[in-house]
Amino acid sequence: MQFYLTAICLGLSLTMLGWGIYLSLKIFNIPDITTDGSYTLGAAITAIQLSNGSNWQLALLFSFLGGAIAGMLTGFIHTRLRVNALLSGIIVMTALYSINLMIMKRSNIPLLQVNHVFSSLQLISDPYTNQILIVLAGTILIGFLLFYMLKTDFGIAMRATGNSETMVSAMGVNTNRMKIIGLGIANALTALSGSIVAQLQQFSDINMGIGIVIFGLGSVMIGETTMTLLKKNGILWRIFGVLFGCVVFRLIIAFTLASGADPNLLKLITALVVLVFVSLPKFNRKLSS
Amino acid sequence: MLEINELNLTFHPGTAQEVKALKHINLNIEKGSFTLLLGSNGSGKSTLLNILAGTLLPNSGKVLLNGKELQNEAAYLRSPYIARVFQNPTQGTAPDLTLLDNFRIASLRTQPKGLKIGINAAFRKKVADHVSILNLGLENRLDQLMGSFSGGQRQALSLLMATFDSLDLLLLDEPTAALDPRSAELVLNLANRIIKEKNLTAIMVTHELQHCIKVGDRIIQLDQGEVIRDISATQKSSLRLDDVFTWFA
Repeated sequence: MQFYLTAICLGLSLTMLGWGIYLSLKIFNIPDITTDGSYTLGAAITAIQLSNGSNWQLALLFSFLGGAIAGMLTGFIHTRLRVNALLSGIIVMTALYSINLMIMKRSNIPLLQVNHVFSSLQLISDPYTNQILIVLAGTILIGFLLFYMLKTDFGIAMRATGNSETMVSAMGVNTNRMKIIGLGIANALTALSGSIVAQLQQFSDINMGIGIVIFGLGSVMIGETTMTLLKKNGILWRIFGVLFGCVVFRLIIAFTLASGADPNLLKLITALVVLVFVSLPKFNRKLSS
Repeated sequence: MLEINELNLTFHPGTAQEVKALKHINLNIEKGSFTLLLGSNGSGKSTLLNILAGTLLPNSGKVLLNGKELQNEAAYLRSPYIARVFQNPTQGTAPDLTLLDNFRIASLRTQPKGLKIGINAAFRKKVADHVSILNLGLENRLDQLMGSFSGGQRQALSLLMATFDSLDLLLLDEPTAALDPRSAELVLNLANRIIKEKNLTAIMVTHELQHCIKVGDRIIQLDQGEVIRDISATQKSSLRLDDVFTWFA
């Protein structure tokens, strides 16, 4: 049971990353893989802040800002220098590997002896329930902020930018600036996930972000597919779908490991899960037509 | 009101594919007039419209709207004065957003899009009233996704969206070309009605010769990047369709 609760908690912590991917991929229609780098960036900033005696609020804030800068850099390279979106993400992600090493000064920082969000905030005496409650509260808060933003006039302009660029620029939206801001927010959310996971697992590692983008993509796909099947098209449902996708994906991984699968096969299983959920809507359409 | 001075644009200059799309275009468009830009493929009519909209920038020459130089301004900066209807309804509307969301963006064409929720009961009512003039029952389908409407409905809606907020100049880029004959008729009549009722200054690119008889105050024919015919309102009133056919002989 503990095992699955940990998986749920990790899934919730990664939901902000899922929302980041949802923003870039679904709202802006940009495949942004800066994620691997900005996730680790959040963890690296958090590790160095906390081990230098700073508090968790500042660690979260600086992680958020660091991710935002990374994302805006990808957006800048993509829109102003006119580099393909995927390549822009790869360039920034690669650069971030060195940046993250420079920030951490070594490849791994343990956070066992420091005050982090989970040791500072005691909502309930049981540490595991406490963790879940904090992560759940934080995730719900961010989710509602995201929902609110997408409902505002600015948010409608954001959604329209990824959907019909000609229309939205004729309506007075600077689409390049909009994409830079959007990728900034997406990667800020991703870095926030990195920060939370580092505090949850009590370490930060230079390689912790490798392949995390595919987890985010898979979670978004699980969420989208499920919500489409349930015919829930509202933005709030889609936002909830990503949360659902992140938790389900972690549970699938946990279940696979618990059933005795070789941990070396983890990435293969991850790839297969994503493949299933990416192809499922198309397969479904074929069956019904 | 709209002045076009010595406008030139050459695509791929200095190469084998060099095309002089526009050569020394000079035009003066009066306030409240409905001008048709006529021409065959490659005549430069769409290029001219794109320069006015800001999606193409000229090599030389000036575009002055109410005395303000526009030729080097990006498209999104021109939105306070210029509204567009595109050839394809998919370009003029966002398919995955609701009708209401689309109109919200349209209502803010001349204003910044801020961090407040602008869709409220009053706004719903305003959009419902506005789309009810189409008599298509769309006022009851405000929360439906734009992509679920037919091409004709979407084009009619994009016309209403373009004229929802204040404007000085309306640009229509072959607005009926992608539609079936019945929808084309509906959209053309709607465009004509809105332009007349609101006394808008409008420029419509077309290669439908019947449009020359049905709508507009003035016809400008372009050929190989040059103005070859300029028909005023008085000349136009006695124009017959057979006359227009001879222009392309």
